[in-house]
Amino acid sequence: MKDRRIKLNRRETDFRFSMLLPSLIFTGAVIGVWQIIVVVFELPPILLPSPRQVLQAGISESGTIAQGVWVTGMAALCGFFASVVLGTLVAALMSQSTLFRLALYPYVILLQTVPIVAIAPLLVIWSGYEFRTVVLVTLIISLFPIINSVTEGLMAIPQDRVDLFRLYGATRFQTLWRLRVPTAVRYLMLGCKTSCGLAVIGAIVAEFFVGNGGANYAGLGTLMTGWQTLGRTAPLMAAVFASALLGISMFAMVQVLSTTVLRRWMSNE
Amino acid sequence: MVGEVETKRVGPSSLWCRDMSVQFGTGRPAVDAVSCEFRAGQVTSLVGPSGCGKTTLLRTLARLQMPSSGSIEMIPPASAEQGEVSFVFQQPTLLPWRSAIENVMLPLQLGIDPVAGESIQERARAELLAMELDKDSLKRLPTALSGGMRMRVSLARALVTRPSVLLLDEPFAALDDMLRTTLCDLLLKRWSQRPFTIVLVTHNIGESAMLSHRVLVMRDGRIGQSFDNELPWPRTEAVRTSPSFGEFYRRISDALRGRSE
Repeated sequence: MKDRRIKLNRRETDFRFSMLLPSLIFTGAVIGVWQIIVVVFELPPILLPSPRQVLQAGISESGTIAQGVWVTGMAALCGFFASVVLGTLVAALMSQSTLFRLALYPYVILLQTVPIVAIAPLLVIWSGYEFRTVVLVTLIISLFPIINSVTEGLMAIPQDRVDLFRLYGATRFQTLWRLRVPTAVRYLMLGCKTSCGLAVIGAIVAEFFVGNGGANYAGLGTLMTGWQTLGRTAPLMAAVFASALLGISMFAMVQVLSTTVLRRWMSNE
Repeated sequence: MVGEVETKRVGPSSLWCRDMSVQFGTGRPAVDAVSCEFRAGQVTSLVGPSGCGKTTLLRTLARLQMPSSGSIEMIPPASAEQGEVSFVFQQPTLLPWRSAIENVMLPLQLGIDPVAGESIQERARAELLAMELDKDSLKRLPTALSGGMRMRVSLARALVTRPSVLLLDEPFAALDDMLRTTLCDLLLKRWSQRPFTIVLVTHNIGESAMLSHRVLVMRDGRIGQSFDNELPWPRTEAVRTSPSFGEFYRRISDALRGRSE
């Protein structure tokens, strides 16, 4: 019984190279089909460049794209971390007081329902064609999953654990620090998995608007709008792949944190 | 070191319920005007069909539930905040992010008066070893422990505060017979080293007969019958197989089925 349990845990978290194989094979197949389509239908490169052309564009523009990944990545990370800090604080307030919960929840919902593309231009007007505007948009888009899951984590404590703390006369702070916060870590990481992907989306969307100002800003979003206007589809697609890689890296970072340093807080048993 | 603790406390407390009721919503109270004594330093079992209010009565004794009317008195007074009243839940109720030893340390970290010259960690370790948890498992997380090991940790956590009253809510219900016997024996061993008052809620008649000085049969929120258990101590395997054990078992079983003597 005990041994089986440990094995199961290992299987879920241990990484083996062979696990990558199926997705690599599938990727190869997709690239093959793409190449065939381009050749068979004689598509012009402005509509759909071949995989080879995209790769070449990616190599020749690698400096620019790397710079874009760096700028967008920093914006996404800053916004994401800000959302983790702010979201956790808001969730802590909401979990501790019904008054805060009632006062703040409508705005939390608003945060989720207002389309980010609608407020991004406004934020550009207020905050300028700046890095900080991109961070701000990223923060707004990635905040909701954090608040939502952390609040749930801080509130959804199994009754017998609450009883245990009540029995020994734990103070409110002790219950928060030794019971609610450790329980919420797992929920926070679930929220982070959603948020980190959204953060990259938020940063790129913000850059679409920031880029329009012609300011000295070169994130992936700005590069994409630029190449789109010039009809340079190959580097545009290379930038799209780069942004996907960025999102995956953010997700991987969260995943690695969950399975290593935060592992003991991940179990719900 | 141990002597210090013995002198700090007067000894096990007796518990007195006077006309105590617990009512949830409307309708029949879960506990209905119960008056009884749980004698100091003795083991009292509460048996009864599910829904008879035995767990509610136990939770009220632990002050996890406030009585709607009536009172509970502990003589001499014992408070859970000082670790003098401990509770063992039906489930081990371990915090999954804490290792076995860290789980046992928890009640001491929540502000129960430390004992001079003894670290919290040493005390938790000693208690776990007394519950015969192997040394290798002390640092393991609950997910890496078997059900029986988790219950050992849960018992150690309840005993680490050196309580004068120990309340047990069907702690062995989920364990197999072998483990149940082992853990019962361990509990009795700890009790004989330093007596405390035990109230044990169970639906297992054999368990109540083996462990207790007195068995109270509960029915519809009231204590129907009370049986003094005359079986000799220590309760060895020979006692378990003796005719008087069978006789006592039958009396409780009859009372549970509603047959009066």
